[in-house]
Amino acid sequence: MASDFSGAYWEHNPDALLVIAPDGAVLHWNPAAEATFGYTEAEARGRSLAQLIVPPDQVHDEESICAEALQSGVSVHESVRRRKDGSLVHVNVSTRAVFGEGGQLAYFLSSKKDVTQLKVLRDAKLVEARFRDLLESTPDAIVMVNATGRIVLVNSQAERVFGYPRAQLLGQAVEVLLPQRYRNAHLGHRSGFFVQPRTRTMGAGLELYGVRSDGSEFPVEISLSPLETEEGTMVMSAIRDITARKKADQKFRDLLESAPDAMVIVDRDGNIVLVNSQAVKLFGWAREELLGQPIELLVPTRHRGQHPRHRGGFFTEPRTRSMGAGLDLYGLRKDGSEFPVEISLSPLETEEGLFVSSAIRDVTERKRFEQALRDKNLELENAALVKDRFLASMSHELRTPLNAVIGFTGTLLMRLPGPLNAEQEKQLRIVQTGARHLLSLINDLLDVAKLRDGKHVLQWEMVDCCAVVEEVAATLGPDAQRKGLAFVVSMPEHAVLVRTDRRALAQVAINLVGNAIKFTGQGQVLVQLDAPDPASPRLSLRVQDTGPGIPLVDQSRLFEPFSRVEGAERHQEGSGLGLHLSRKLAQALGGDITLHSRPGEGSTFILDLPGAQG
Amino acid sequence: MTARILVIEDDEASRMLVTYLLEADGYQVYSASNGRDGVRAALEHGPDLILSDLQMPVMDGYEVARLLHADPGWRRAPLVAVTAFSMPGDREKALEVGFQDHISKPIDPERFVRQVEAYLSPSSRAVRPPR
Repeated sequence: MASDFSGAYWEHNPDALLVIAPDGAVLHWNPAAEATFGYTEAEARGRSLAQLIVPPDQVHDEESICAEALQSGVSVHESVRRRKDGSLVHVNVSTRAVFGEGGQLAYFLSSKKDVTQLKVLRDAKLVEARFRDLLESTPDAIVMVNATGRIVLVNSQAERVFGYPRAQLLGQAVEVLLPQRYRNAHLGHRSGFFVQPRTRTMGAGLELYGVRSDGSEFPVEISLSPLETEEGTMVMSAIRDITARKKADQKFRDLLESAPDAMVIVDRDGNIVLVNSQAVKLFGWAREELLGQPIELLVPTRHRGQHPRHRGGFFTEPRTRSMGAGLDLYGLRKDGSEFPVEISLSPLETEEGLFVSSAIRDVTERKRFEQALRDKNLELENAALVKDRFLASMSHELRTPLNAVIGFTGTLLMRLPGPLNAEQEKQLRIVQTGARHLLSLINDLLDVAKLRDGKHVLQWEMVDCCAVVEEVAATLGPDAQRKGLAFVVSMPEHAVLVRTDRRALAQVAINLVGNAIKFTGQGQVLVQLDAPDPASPRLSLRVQDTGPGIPLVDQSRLFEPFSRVEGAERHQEGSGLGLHLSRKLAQALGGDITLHSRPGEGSTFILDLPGAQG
Repeated sequence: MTARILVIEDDEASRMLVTYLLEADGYQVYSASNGRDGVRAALEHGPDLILSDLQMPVMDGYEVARLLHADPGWRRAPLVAVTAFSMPGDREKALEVGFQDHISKPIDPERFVRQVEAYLSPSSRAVRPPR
């Protein structure tokens, strides 16, 4: 029987001719069948026709064709079959059941005409008429395909986006619009869609690309909808070129990556939508592990409960601010360890809604540094306190024996116990001078300690500076005259009232004038008081001498405790604290002391103080 | 009649000095080396002036002032603190508990007697030849 299937009619028939055994296995397969379905006769023979070329959703259809042929001899249908490469073809099927001499079923003879293109034309005509106008008005590129995956309609946006004229696309497999590397896989996805057609986004979470007629690719977003028509189910795909958005996204990502801080962006529901690599590094989670997770993943467990409420609060009043001002915040790493953080939040308007961008900084190092600094400060404060207490109590303890030394030296010099000879008096005066020096040293030390402690209580009152200067001049003028120095006092004739502490002001003035007299060998000491006026609202007291002057190198440390100018004549006495104390007092009064001096040209110390309104 | 002065001072040299200066000018001086003895002497002798140190063992000067002021049997007399305390607030603290004045140590021997005489009535001050 097999020999009957040969000859020109069999070999050159334009339609696929198949002989199928009663059990469905292929017995014969002409060259047109090979051309239509892609399998050679050798490949096809012996295999079940259903497994070979019938798509899963058409198996039932094939069975009913054979049943009909058995019953009425011939069955004619239009159906969809699958090629070896997975693509679909539209076929007209005519099947006849052939019976043997005994009346038993010998085989089915079936011809299958490929009408894919005819079908496309028919479908195109249908959808053109029905949807064309509607689809022209949508902003997206629309490509509609029929059950065999052939393009039956494109709108002009699609023509423009893909760079083909409509005529070139109609009838083409839709894969022509895909990059080569995706085409094979797409065949499978496509038939999958027809098995379970519903409106959805294509390739959710994947990056999709289209390819233009010139071969260039571009990123796309595609949504698919099934469309039931009397010509069968078709698929409408709306394609959006997202090149611009991708670029913007990329820019945003680049920006995010260039931020020095870890950046985590969450949506309104608190789910992470974007992180930069700094965040990945900081928290120890991979990017994929973070995306889509609630942000509380990064919050220590004990704070997780309250966090969503705070989050909600931010959305009710979204503005850039730091998080948990004044609180110690902590981040949680994947490994469960915590670290101190500083977080600033900003609202981020996007086309997908309001997001929150949080910049997270690991402040472990800074905290450590601050703690070290605090410890050190405390240590220093304690040391200063101990030292000041020591100075205060030392001063107290020294005063008691000094009371006896100064007291009894005094009684002897007052000759209360009896007369003194000249040598005894001279030596007692030396004791007295030494003791008084010791006392001034103790007093100054105590003052320094009090100032440092903030225990120096100033008594603010209106003070006439002229009176203070006169007092100082009266006290020290005789010393200047004894050394043969000219002592010149210059001040306004009216009272100069400022609000200050009288004792502190006098102490500073005595120190400055006393120093000028002490260190000047010949010439003059000028004391000049300038009253504040509208042009210069501060009061200044200048003490100018014609002494040796002070080298620049020594000037800065002159106000340090116990500093002595190199080469200064050492017979000069003093506690070494005078200038230090004077400047501290001047500063406590809201002023300062400045110095202008050059070796050989004398020195000028200027005390300036706030005016009356100070 | 020349005044009688009580000196309460724990440092022996200081006590000697003050006593010496006052006696040199003709005053009658009682002395005590701690606060408790000082209070006892004040009640016993009823001096015209009391000079007291502040920091002392057994009982300090503040307590002396408080006890005397609270004692109805005490014949009132000016109280003057003579002390090496010179921290801010010490003077105020002394005035608060009933001292009239506060003289810092070391004392100035040439001025000391005149300083304390200010608290005596003119008739009870010592009469001395000009020096």
